Parts: sequence; structure tokens; C-alpha cells
Amino acid sequence: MSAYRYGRPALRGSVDVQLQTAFSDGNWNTVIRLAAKRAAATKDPYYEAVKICAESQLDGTAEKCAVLAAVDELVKNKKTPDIDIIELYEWACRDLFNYDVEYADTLGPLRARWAKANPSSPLALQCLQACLEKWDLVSAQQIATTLDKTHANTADRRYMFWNITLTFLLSVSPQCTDASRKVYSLLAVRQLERAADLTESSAKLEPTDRGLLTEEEICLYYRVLRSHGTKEEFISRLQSPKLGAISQLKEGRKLLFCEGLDALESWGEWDLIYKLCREALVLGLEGATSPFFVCDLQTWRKFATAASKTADPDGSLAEVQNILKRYIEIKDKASEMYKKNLSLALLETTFRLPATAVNPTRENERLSARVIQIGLFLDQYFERLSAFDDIKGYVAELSFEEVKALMESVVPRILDEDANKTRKIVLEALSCKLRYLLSTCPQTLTPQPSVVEGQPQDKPFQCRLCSSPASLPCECCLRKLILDAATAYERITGEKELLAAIPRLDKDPRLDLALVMGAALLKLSGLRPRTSDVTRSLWQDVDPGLFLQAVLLLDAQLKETPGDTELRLLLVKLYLLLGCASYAYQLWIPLDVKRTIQDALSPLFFDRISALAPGLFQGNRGLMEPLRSFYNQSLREKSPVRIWDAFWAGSYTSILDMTEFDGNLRRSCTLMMTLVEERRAIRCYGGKIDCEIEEHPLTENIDDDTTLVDKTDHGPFPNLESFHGPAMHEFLSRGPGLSVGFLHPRSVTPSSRFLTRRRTSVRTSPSCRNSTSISCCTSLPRTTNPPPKQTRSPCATATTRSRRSRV
Amino acid sequence: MANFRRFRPDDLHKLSKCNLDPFTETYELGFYLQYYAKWPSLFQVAEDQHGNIIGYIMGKLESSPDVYRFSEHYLPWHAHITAVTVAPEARRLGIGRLLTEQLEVAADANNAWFVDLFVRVSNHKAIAFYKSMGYSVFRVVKDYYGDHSSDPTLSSEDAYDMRKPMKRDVNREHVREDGEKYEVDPSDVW
Ligand SMILES: CC(C)(COP(=O)(O)OP(=O)(O)OC[C@H]1O[C@@H](n2cnc3c(N)ncnc32)[C@H](O)[C@@H]1OP(=O)(O)O)[C@@H](O)C(=O)NCCC(=O)NCCS
Repeated sequence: MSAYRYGRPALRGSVDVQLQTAFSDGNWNTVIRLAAKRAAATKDPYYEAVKICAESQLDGTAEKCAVLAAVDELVKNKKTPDIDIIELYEWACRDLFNYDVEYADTLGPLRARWAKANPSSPLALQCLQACLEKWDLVSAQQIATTLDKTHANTADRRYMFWNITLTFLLSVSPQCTDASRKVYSLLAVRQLERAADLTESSAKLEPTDRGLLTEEEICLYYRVLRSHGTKEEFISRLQSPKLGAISQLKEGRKLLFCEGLDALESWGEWDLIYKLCREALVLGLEGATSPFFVCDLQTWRKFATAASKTADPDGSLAEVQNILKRYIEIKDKASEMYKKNLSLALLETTFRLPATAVNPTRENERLSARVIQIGLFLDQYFERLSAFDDIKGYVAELSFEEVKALMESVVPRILDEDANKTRKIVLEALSCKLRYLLSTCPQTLTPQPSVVEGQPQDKPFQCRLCSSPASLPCECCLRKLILDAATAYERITGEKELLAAIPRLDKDPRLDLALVMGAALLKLSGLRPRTSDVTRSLWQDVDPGLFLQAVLLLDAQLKETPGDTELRLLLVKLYLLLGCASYAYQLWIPLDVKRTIQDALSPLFFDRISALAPGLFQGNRGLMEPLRSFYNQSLREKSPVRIWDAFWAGSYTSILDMTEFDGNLRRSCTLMMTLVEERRAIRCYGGKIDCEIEEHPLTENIDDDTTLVDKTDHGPFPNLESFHGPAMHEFLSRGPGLSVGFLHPRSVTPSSRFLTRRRTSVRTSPSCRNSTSISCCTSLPRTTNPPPKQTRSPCATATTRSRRSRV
Repeated sequence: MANFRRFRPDDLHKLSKCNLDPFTETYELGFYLQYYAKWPSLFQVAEDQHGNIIGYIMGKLESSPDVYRFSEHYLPWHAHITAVTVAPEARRLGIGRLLTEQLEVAADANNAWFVDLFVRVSNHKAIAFYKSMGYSVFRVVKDYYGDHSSDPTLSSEDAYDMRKPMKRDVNREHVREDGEKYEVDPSDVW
């Protein structure tokens, strides 16, 4: 590790005590005087460097700049610099790298030059680390190539893979010129292909061989192939005897299987997915892996979906069921979790079967195999907290006849008449949730003519459950549901035996019932997702009486069950909608959203908070402090946090993922929200803003064309809605998605001018692999120049460049 | 309802089901990423059908630094469970056990002597959980935690250092029957 990270570098051992002491005491004027003397006497450029380094610590701009000029000089003269001088200069420039001095134009190339001249020195490795920590990929790649050549065929395989990983990282980085991009891409793929061929063709690979050995090396190969190779190559290798997904599974390595399936799915290669899942699941049955190694829900889902898309879906799905049956035969050996996965897999396959296969004669359309399977699942799991979430997607797929059968014949019969009261009430709560779910499913309604007997109809549907004229949802059903849920709730509170049983249950049924009542009241109040006109008053569309009833009911429930985070979050959002931000904040605090989870969860409270309650910031300047400090700490360096650890450990896929994660975090919507909200609130009260957004170090990577990344986590919200309509959290939002909110024309203020002048559109960020998050594409009209930036470095030299130019 | 797979950094945006539970600590980004960087195969998650993380385990493989070699507290090559947590909605399904067993398999594959962990002495559920899998108390670390989980008037809490021997420890040299009687200071563990 370079000394500059921790403090002053140690001077060479040969330096006399007087100078050493002055240097370590920070006695800079003395250092300058003594170093000048030694330089004159010895003609050793090292002393000149010590002098320049000491000068850089003085206050005068000219002295500070001397080190930049010296570095510039070293870069230009093409000679190999002294490593001790590099260390000194790097320390002297340490504060300038965050401003206008580019490491990649200065110290990086010097380190690369030194490492190339001294490849066997252990200090060459330090040079690699230093360049990586400053995220100078060009120099780091050059050093890694040199080190690889020097250490080729040694047992330390990392040199080879550092080289390949860095070549790949460079090929996908904006630091790479367009002209070189292709070369680096090819270089990375070809080196890995050669390694893969060697592995396939060798009977046994020694650590000194340049093949692929470890799981990390193999997965790196597939990652690079997916990015730069052809689909055909990827697919053919994925099935190969040594490096294929199945052979890796046999060695207890699952990562490639998971990543391979993802790649195949993205290409729509369903036949191959079917084949791979089949082989993998059979391995478990035959004892080639531990039995339930790949028995994840994901595998079963992909297997069933792929089977339904083959040329012979009936035959393929029969095979899925056959394998599933074999697993069910051994399920006694499995943990509860896998047993449940198998039950869900059974549901999944039943739902993927073609209608003719499920019910060939179309007899008994109501009590179909699908309904029976849901019933069987509920028989086992209705008391589990997750039961509703497990089945709700399937229930929403049922036809109306099936729905009726489920609700009238199956659910009520899960328990006998004489079953225990507590179990009955749990089932009743589940039944209420299902009824609510069905109110969001269009199959419960039939369209009505808009004019009947000459009379225009105000409701477009008729509800098939209660026969009333309806819109979606059917108000009549919702009202009845509220009454039934309230009755059940009262029954619980009125019976000591039931109240006493609650702590032993997976979930308090009162909570479920309160959520159903609350959600139904909100729907009846007219609350709908607000995606466009945020200036329109909520009360123009929403009945305040019903809305407040919902809030009071849920609030009363929170007093009973204060530990329930779903309910708490729901209430936070409702109070924000009501405009009661300080009360919402009181409810928010106990959630203890801190450190790493802030990026995903803070927008749930803070999005647009300054417009609603700038007063919250008054006397509470630290409101955004935890967020700010999270970003300051996580984005302090230009490199991804802990990246050298991943290099050192040979965790190549971690390196790629950490790089991508870091890139997204630097473009985070929550980061922008943090800066914008705080500034808007300050401006509201006429306060002074210390640093405008565009000048803020945290916006360095946010450019006019940056696609901001929204990673808000809506997972902790209760969601009783079906997939036919928006999720619950969308009903609770105070306007359109997070990123668009920043850019609303109303919010034009000097502090956010560069944000607010942009055209906005919403699109999915293409940079987020496997991500479906909505991001906001912000782009400045080409004719508008960004505001001029102040130069914050003490001086500008040939080695500086605008920070925007690196984005 | 669940998939078991390796952690990936994007999962940090999906931790709410686990981390909003007061028994689960949320760390700085660097802490999670350090584990992902150094021991990616010992950082495993369970995810639900919507991509929410409903359980995870974070572990490492190491021995005490060499300077401790002659100390009585020196720890030979072993695996350590830094964190294991399961979302309340997914508890008692065996997820915690499966995650821990995966780490034990890795510990055996890497020839570790034992797997160890620290747990608050008041965390009875977790202690029962570990005991059910063959872990036992090796020693008590006095005032290991700087706060108390259930009593706000107390400014510290003891930890149990619990262990389970791995295959390498054929003679059960690294576990003891009466570990509750051995008390050490936080400075003795690292
Ligand atoms: C401790 C914890 C990880 C257990 O996870 P889990 O997935 O629910 O545990 P499992 O289902 O795998 O349980 C395995 C065995 O442990 C024991 N066990 C688990 N939870 C228990 C509890 N609450 N009470 C008593 N024994 C328990 C049981 O013997 C259980 O087997 P069984 O269900 O067949 O009886 C989970 O409760 C948790 O996340 N707690 C909060 C975080 C925490 O305390 N972590 C540990 C910090 S060191």
C-alpha cells in the first residue's frame, strides 16, 4: 500500500537525520532550505523533488504549482522516473486529484513507465494498486500486462487474470478511446478463449498452466464472452464437457448455471433452458450433486416456462412433472424451504400446462386442476405469513369460474367446522386478502353497454361477484369486504382466547384485516396513482372522509403492532400525502434507515420533501447528513470501494459487479435527491447555499447526458394489488417517479438550474444489467451550454482537464 | 418462494425485508463489499420471487495475524460467520440452516478447523438456532457489544463466542464442553 494514503511518505533511508526530522515535523521552510543545499551538493534529483514536495505544502499558489510543473516535466521527458520521487510527488498532489489534475495524465503514466522498467520489483505491484485506486485503467492495464509477461507460468495465476480483467474493464470504460476499444475487446476474448481451449484439451491442468481453473476464472470467461463474443460461442461452451454449466455443477459450483440461464433467457433460447434445467435437476436425483442443490424456485419456473415453449409442450411439461414427482418422492429429506419450493413448482407447472392438458374434456371447468393445486398449497401453508404473496399471482390468473370455485368451494373447506378458532380467524384474514385481490382483477367484471334502454350508464361494467354495476374496483364488493373484515377484527378483539393466541402466530391477523380495510377505504376514497399533474389538489379526486378513515384505522393498528414495518411505511406515505410531514417523520425515524440501505429506501420519505415541508430542515440541518455522509464515504475515491481487495483475492466477477455498482451509485437518483432537496429547502428560507449542485464534488459524474439510476426499493410496502394494475406504492406516490420529480418546471431555482433546464423522458437504464428500474434520461438541448465551471485547483497546467470531460 | 445464490452488489438495494428488522445490523457499504471482494463464495443470499433478499450470510476464512501466533488466543485457520439473518416472514423454513450449512461446506472444502461466530448472550433465538446445528459456546467475551439489545440502561452486553468443529478437527481440539466458564476481554479477540 502506498504511503500517501496514510500520511507523509518516509524519506529514503540515506537522507540525513536533520532533513528527515524537518520533513517528518512538517517544518517545510527548513526542508526547502536543507533539500536545496543537498541537491546542490549531491546533484541528486531526489533532493530537488523533496524541495518541490515541501514547497507544495506552503500557502502560495506559485509554490503549490511547482509540483505540477515538475510532474509535467517528468511525463514529457519520457525517461523512467525514480519511484521515490513518484511517491513524493503523488503525496504532494494528493488533494489535487479530486479537482482538476488527472491521475491518468500525470502520475499514472509515470507509474506505468516505472513498472515497465522494473517489472520484477515488488514495487511494481504497488504501482498497479495505486493506479487502480485512482481508477486510471489505462495505466493499470499497461502495468498488469507487464506483470503478466514477467510472471507468466508462475503458480500465482492472478497476474494473468489481472491483465485480462483490466483489458476487459478498459474495453468497456469511457477511458478507452474508440479506436482502441475493439483491440482491447478482442484481446480480452482471445486470451480467455485460448485459456478455455487449454482447459478443454488438457487431461489435468496445473496451476502454472494458462488455462481456466477456478470458478472465478471460468465465470470471468463467460462474462467477457457474453459481452464481446458471439452468442453461438457462449452457447457451445456452456454445453461443453469441462467448462459447461453441468460440469461446473458437478463440482459444486452454481454461479455459472445461474448466469448461463440468465443469458439464455435474454436471448430467448428456451429449448436450451429446458435442456439445461432438466440435466441439472436430474443430477440432483442421481446423486451427482447434493439433492436439492438447484431446486430453487427460479430453476423450476424457468424449466416449466421453457417446457411450455418447446415444439412439444405437452410432452415437455409431462417431463417436468415427472421430474418434479421424483423430487416429491424424496421431499421428506428436504428442508421446509425446499418442500415449499416443490409445492410452488407444482403450482407453477400446473399453470403453465396448456388448457387442454389441464382439463381435456372441459368438464368441471370450475374445479380445475389449477384451483385444486392452489387448494392443496393452501392446505399446507395458509397459516404462513407469506402464503398470500406465494399464491396471489396464480389466483390473479384464474378464470372467473375458477375464482368462484376457489372462493366458494375450496378456501372455506380448508378447515373443518370444528377446527380451532385461531386457525379459522387466520384463514378468514387470508380470505379477505384474496377478496381484495380479486377486486383488482378484471375477470371479475363484464363490460356493459354504455347505453341501456336509452339511458347512459355511468358504470362501464357489471360485477360478476355481486351483480352490481361497477367500475374497477367494484365499490359494492369493497364495501361488503370492509364490513366483513371489521366484523372479523371485532371478533378477535372481543375474545381473550384469540388475543392470547396472537403471539404464537406467524402474523397478527388483525394486521391483515386492518390492511384490507385500509386499502379498500383508500380505493373507495378515489385514490389513484398520480403520475402527471402534481399541481392538482389531491382532494379534487379523493374523498377526504374516506381517506381519513383509512388513515385513522391504520394508525390505530400501528399502535397495536408498532413493530410492523410494512404498516409503518404505508402510514409514512399516507401522512406525506396528507401534508403532515413532521408526523410522517416521527413514524419514519424508528425504521432506522441508515448507512448502506439509504440509497434504496430514503426516497420513500425524502423525495420532494422540501416542497412539502421545508420547515423540517429548519433547526435540523443534519436532516440529510446521514445520506450525505454515506455518499461522501462511498464515493470518496474514484475507484469502486474495496476494489483492490477483489483484485488481490482473485475475485474477478466481483470486480466487474463492483465496478458496475459503483457506476450506478455515482449516478444515483437518491444522491441527486439529497443535494436538490437540501438546497431547495435552504432557498425557501432565503438561506445561503455553500456549494451549488453543479459544483458539488458528488455530481462530478453527472453530466448533461447522464441517465440517472433509480434503485428505490418498494419491496417493504404491503401490496394486495394484482399484477393487472399498479402496485400499492404507486397509489401512495405524491407524483411521478423519483427522477422526473426533480425536474419539474415548478422547481426551477438557481441552485438546480442545470438540472431543471433539461428535457426529461423516462426510460429503463440500459446500463443496468438485470435491472428493470426506471431511470430518468436527462439531456440538455444541444444548443445550450452548461454553465461555466469555476476552476477550483490552485492553478491549471497542461496536465489538467475539465472534470466534465471525463464523464 | 426462494432462490439460493451468491450475493451481488445490487442486492444491497433489496435488503429491506431483512434489514428493517431491528435485530439485523446495517453496515457501511465498504463492509459488505469487503466480504464480496475477498470471499464472494461465502456471501450467499436467499431471494424471494420478487427479488427481495429474505436471508443472507456473510462469512470469511482466516487465521489470527501472525503476531498473535504465540498468544493463547491465537485462532488457527477457520471460517467465521460475520452475519446471518433471515427476514421475519421467512423464518423457521430452514433458510438460516441452509445458508449456514453452505458456509460449513466451504469451510470443510478449505480445510478449516472450525466455524465460529459472536452472538449477544440475550439473543436466545439465535443461540437456539446455532445450538440446533451443533455449535457450542467456546468462551464469553465480556462487554463485547457497546450497547444492550433489550435494556437501554445498560451500556454494554457480553457475547458468546460459539464454535462448531469441522472435519479437520478429528480430535475435537478446538471446542470445549463448558465454554460458558471461560471469560475473555474484547481485546483478546479480534
Ligand atoms: C437466527 C435466525 C438467522 C434463524 O433463521 P431461520 O431461517 O428462522 O432458522 P431455521 O429455520 O433454519 O432454523 C433451524 C433450527 O434452528 C432453531 N431455531 C431457529 N429459530 C428459532 C427460534 N426462534 N427459537 C428456537 N429455536 C429456533 C430450530 O431448532 C430450527 O429448527 P426447526 O425449525 O426444525 O425447529 C433468524 O431468526 C434471524 O434472522 N434472526 C435475527 C438476526 C439474528 O439474530 N441473527 C444472528 C445474529 S448472530
